[in-house]
Amino acid sequence: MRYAPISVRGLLSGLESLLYVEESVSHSGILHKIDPLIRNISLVSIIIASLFTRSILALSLMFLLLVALVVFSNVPLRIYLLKTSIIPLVSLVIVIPIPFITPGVPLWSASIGSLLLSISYEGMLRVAEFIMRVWVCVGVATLITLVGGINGLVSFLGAIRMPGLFTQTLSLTYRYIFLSINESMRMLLARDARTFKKRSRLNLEELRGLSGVMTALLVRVHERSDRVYLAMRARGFSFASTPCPYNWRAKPSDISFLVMVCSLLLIILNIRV
Amino acid sequence: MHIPDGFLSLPIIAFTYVLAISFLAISFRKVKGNVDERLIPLMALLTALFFAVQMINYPIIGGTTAHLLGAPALGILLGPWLGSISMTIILVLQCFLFADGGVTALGANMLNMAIIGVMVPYAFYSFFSKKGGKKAIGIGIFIGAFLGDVLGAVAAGLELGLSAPVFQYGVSIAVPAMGIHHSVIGLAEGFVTLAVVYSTIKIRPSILSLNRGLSVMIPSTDGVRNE
Repeated sequence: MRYAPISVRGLLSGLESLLYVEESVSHSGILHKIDPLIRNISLVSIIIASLFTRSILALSLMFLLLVALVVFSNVPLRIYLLKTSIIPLVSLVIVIPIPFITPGVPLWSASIGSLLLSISYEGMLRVAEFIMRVWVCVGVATLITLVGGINGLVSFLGAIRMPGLFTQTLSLTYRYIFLSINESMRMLLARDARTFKKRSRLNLEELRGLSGVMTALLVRVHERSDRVYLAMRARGFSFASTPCPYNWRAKPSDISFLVMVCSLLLIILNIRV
Repeated sequence: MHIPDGFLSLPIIAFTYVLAISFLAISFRKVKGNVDERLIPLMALLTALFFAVQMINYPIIGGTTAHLLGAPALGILLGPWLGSISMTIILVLQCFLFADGGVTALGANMLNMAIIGVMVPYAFYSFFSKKGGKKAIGIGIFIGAFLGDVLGAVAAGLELGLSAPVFQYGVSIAVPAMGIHHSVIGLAEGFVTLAVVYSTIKIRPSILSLNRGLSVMIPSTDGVRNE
């Protein structure tokens, strides 16, 4: 991917990620069998619980709970850990100065000229707590999609009574994302193949090119939307008469799962070392 | 500008969620019974397009890359209410498909990008287009898109800065950092939005005319509004 033009790399990785989501939904495991509403409430409760604690041990146990759910849901653990570790790593860059500016017991110190650098124990704890919380939250969001896919998400939104305009447009948008990414990629590659770039930074010429690509894509989108609308109408589809994309089908086992997750979270939150 | 999970404190999460959901409810109320059915596939396809456009990164200063927000263009092309809904869909999909922006930060991200990012550019566009003339509309679009981007970033900085001790840097660090970085991106956003909207008005004014509120704003070639 590193040989692809920088303008195309994001599109390529996005496409890869979407294809992986589509693939992982077909797996079968414990979370796949749970009702979408109950499943998502259970998973989101882990995020909410993570906001109420500042203990690294509690946050680590929450992440372990997630890992257990990943394993029992037959989601490949290695890929899950790789996917979820990118955002915490980016977050780590943001909090790098914290150990230096937080007062506390010094773990390491050095002087460069008149400048005294010192890393404090309290600062390191803050960084660890921050990164663990980010990892737990990203882990939950990733797991929600890897297990339920876009249909699970739409069902969940239907269950919490989001208007049909939102859920239908979201479903339709998702179906056309692959096409939009592919079309944008082809246009950018064609443009890059035709041009010789002297500078790689964003400049006026680059912006003009991007505007041209966007306008061309916009015109294509407009033409396609008419065809899509007519095709939908021809099949008898009406936005006004589309049913809610969720039917309540929670079983006692689903409720038991929710109770189990909430109980585990309460135990984790109350652990005192 | 996407705030990830774990960066915001509980009061900020609650406040931004309440604000964003209230605004979303107003948007749905405003468009209820007012939307041309043909606009829904167009809205979905435009949302998919701007979702893809947000993935196109461009190198800027300091070895970092930036991408366009697309919110100003969505607001102007679809109108403020549908534009906000469309941008919310993008944020929900990005949050769950790419973990780009957190679940707990969804309210804040909606506030910054789907509300400020859409409403500010639309307000400027709307105000300047009432003055008539191609130049005035152009100025409105450019300033609106620039300010929409910068104010959205400043709001994100405020939310982060007020989230201490969860996010350790205060307002005095977070707001300038976000504002300065996004003023560069805002210029690019303004230029591209201006070019895209002008081209749309020129090549496909029917895209704008589908939105009843905007149809009166489509200028004729001599810059006089079609009333």
